[in-house]
Order: sequence, then structure tokens, then C-alpha cells
Amino acid sequence: MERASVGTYLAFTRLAFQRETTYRVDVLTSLLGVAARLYLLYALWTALYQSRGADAAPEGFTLSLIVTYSAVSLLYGLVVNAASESADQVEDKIRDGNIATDLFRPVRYPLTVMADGLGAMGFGLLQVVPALLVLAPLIHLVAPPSLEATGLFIVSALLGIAVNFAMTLMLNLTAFWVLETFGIQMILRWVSMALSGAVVPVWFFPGAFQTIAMSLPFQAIYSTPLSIYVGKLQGATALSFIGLQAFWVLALGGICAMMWRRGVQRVVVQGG
Amino acid sequence: MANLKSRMEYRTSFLLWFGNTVAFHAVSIGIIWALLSRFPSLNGWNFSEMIFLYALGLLARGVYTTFFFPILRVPFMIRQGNFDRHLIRPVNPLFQILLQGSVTSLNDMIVGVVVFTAAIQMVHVAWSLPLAVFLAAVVVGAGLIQAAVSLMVASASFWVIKVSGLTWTVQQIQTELVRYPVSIYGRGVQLILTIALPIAFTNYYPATTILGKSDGALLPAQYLGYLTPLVGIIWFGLAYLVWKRGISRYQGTGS
Repeated sequence: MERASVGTYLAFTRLAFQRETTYRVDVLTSLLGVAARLYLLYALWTALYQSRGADAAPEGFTLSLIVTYSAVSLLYGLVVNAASESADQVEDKIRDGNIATDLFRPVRYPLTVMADGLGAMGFGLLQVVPALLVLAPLIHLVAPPSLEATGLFIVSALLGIAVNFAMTLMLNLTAFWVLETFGIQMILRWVSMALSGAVVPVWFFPGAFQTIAMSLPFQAIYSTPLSIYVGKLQGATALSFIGLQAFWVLALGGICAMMWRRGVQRVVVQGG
Repeated sequence: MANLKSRMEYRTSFLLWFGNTVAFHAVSIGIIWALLSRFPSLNGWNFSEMIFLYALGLLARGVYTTFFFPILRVPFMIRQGNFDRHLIRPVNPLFQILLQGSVTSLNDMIVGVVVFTAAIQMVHVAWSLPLAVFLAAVVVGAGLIQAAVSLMVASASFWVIKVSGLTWTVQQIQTELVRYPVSIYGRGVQLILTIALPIAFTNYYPATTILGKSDGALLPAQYLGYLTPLVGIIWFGLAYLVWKRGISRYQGTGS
């Protein structure tokens, strides 16, 4: 069997991008969801900050910064979810048994999933940019405090997307061994959304919860890049958090690789 | 998203669904708790009152899911061609569909009762028999409003076949919007949530009535709370009319 070239995998990326462009209603729906949620968060934070007085800045977050945090979180979330869609379909393929045919192709299945994710992510970005341009003046969206912060944010965001991808893939790969994961997946989704700092910054969590949240991989998806964007994490501290993100990517990616190898063995042994 | 919808059709064990419901609400309440540990209040609502608000919404949702959950299946039934057989039988089609409910839909009610029991111990309300009766009427009315909205959305499938993605998002947003006191929103939104899509009645208005709260809402919230059962009946009646109109159109144009 010939080894597939990079070009072959990039074809998957291009196909994924094209595929996403056909889902016009879904694009509108997700943007509508973002707009509605942003309005809700804006109203919520404004009311909360009012109760603390004019110059409230808990943990350094002024009202302006927390609104920016929420807006970036929602838009970034679109890209994160888009990038992980392909990983989320692995489970069905395993259960259907279709995974067997993928094992015989000259391409490596996990790499095609990642290439697909890249394409979907690219399209997600394309949606987000015009939304950002529209929203920015409406809610007085603040830009990152410095060029360095912007650069670190981009790096951190890409790592965050990778962590989410790896987590999603890991969950999907359990399908090799576990019959029904739907309930667990949903529970994990809610818990990860809360603990990741996507809605409420981890910095606002009371004592013990902050410690717990910081030791889990979820904050590596949302909290780190968002905190860098608003300037909560800077310089050396930011770099150490990025290092932590890289750790999670490697750790979770390694687990995925191991699960994939074991899972494939299982399929082959059982005759697909 | 498409994955999620198709998975909702699967038969999952009751325990798994229940665990999922508990986790979801635990997280939502956890977020409220985290927020109110940092900020003194939300438009004058403290944590106990927020829990009461949340619990009231849960009870309303409980009534809705317990009795009206099967409405959500209608768009799928139409798309898959399973709807017509309900029209052939001599029994009211909506009634037939509602009878197809399952035990798993009790989730929200159970969680709602638990959270509400905790909530009433946290707030200062002088309970009496009339108040309890009012509460029951409110919960039923609020449940009817939720059922009405759901029925209207489901009826849209009689006109436009592919609705599911958008309606799912709309329903999600609705639930999220009323998790917080409606008074935090702008005037336009408050009006919409009172008149056009009266979900503010599912928890906010009756909560202000029972708790005796006034927090600068656009409209006289406490008085509106008394109207909740009436709004429920009217709105469900409207939804039923839309449903009937949809069916006659569906039968007229063929499947």
C-alpha cells in the first residue's frame, strides 16, 4: 500500500471546506445563536456590574472587558465546534462498522479526520470574521492590549482548538469498547462548558472550584486563549499557560493514538 | 448538531437521561451560584430568589415535558411519513400523539420538584392554602405556555418541511433567556417576551408575584403574575388553532 502524500490529506481539507459552504441555514442558525447569546450575556453582565457600583473590576475585569470576553468566547466557540465536528462523527463510523472500510484505504483514517477538521475550522473562521466586524462596534469590542498579546492569542487559540479536538476524538474512540456513550457525552459537554471558563471566567470561580477547574483540560480550551486576549494573562505567565495547553494536546493526543491502535486491533481480530 | 438530533431518537436508558438532566441543571445553577458569589445581586435578586426563579421555570418545564413532550416528534413524523395514520383514526390527532409519551419525560418534573423544595426553604414567603392553589394554577399555566410555543413551532412543519435546526436553536435560546429575571433586558425584548412570545410568564412574572419583588421591570410584573394561568389557556388555545390550520393545509395539499 502506497503512503498517501500531504496533498491527498489536503484534499480532505478542501472537500470539508466546500461541504460546509452548502450548509447555509446552519450558518445562519449558529450566527443567530451567537447574537442572541451575546445579547443575553451583555444584559446579564451589565445588571451584575450595576450591583457592584460604577467602577467594578473584579479580578481586573471591567464591564467592557467581560463583554469582550463573552463575545470572543462565543465566536471562538463557533470555530472550536466546527473544527471538532469530524472527530464527533468517528463514533458513528465505529458503531456502524464502516470504520473497517476506512482501515483498508491508502490513507490513514485519523489523519483524514484531522484534515477534515482543518477544513471545517477554516470555514468556521470565515463565518466568524464578518460577524466580528459587525459586532465589534455594536458592543464596543476591545482589541487585545498589545501585538504580542494578539500573537499569543492566536497561538493559544489554535492549541485550544487542538485540545478540544483531541478530547472529542478520545470520547468518540471509546465507542470501540462501550456500547452507548450519549448520556456521558452530554454530561461532559455541560460540565466542560462550565469549567472551561467559556461562560464565566475561571478567575471568578470561588476558591476550591478554581483550583479544580485549573487542573482540568477544559480550561485549556477556552480560559487560556480568552484570558490572553483580554490581557488577564500576559508575558511569562501567558507562556506558561500556553505550555500547559501544549501538554494537554500531547497527553490527550497520545491517549487517542493508543486508543486508536488498540481499537483497530479489536476490529481486525473480530473480523470488522 | 445533526448528530444530536438523530441521537435524540435513540432509546436511552432512563438513568442516563436522568443523570444528564441533573448534570445540566446542576451546572446551570452552579453558574448562577458562581456569579452571585462575586456580585451582590442581579437586578436586586439574590441567590435564593434566583433559585426560586429557576425552580419555577423547572416546574413549568416539568409540566410541559411530562404531558406534552411527544409534540417534538411531529416534525420528524411528517418528514418520515408517519404522521398520516393519526389523521385516519377517529380520535383527535393531537391527543393520539400526546398519548405516546414515555416515562423518561418525567425527568424535568422530578428535578423541578427537588429544586423547588430546596428553593421554598431559602426564600421568605408566607405560605397559605390560597397561595398554594395559586402556585399550582401558575405552574399549570406556565406549562401550557411552554406547550403552546412548542406546538406552534411543531406546526410550522406543516408549511415548511425543513425547520428542525432553526427551531432547536430558538428553543434553546428561549430557555436560556428566562433563566434570568427578564427585567435585565431592554424594553423591546421585555415586550416581546411578554406579548409576542410570553415566556416571561413561565417563571419571571409569577415569581415576582409570589416573592413580592419589584426590580424595575418595564411592566407591572407582580400584577402580570396573576394572569399567568389565563395566559397559559389563551396561548394554548391559539397554538391549537394554528395546529388545526396546519393539519387542514397538510390534508389539502396532500403529503
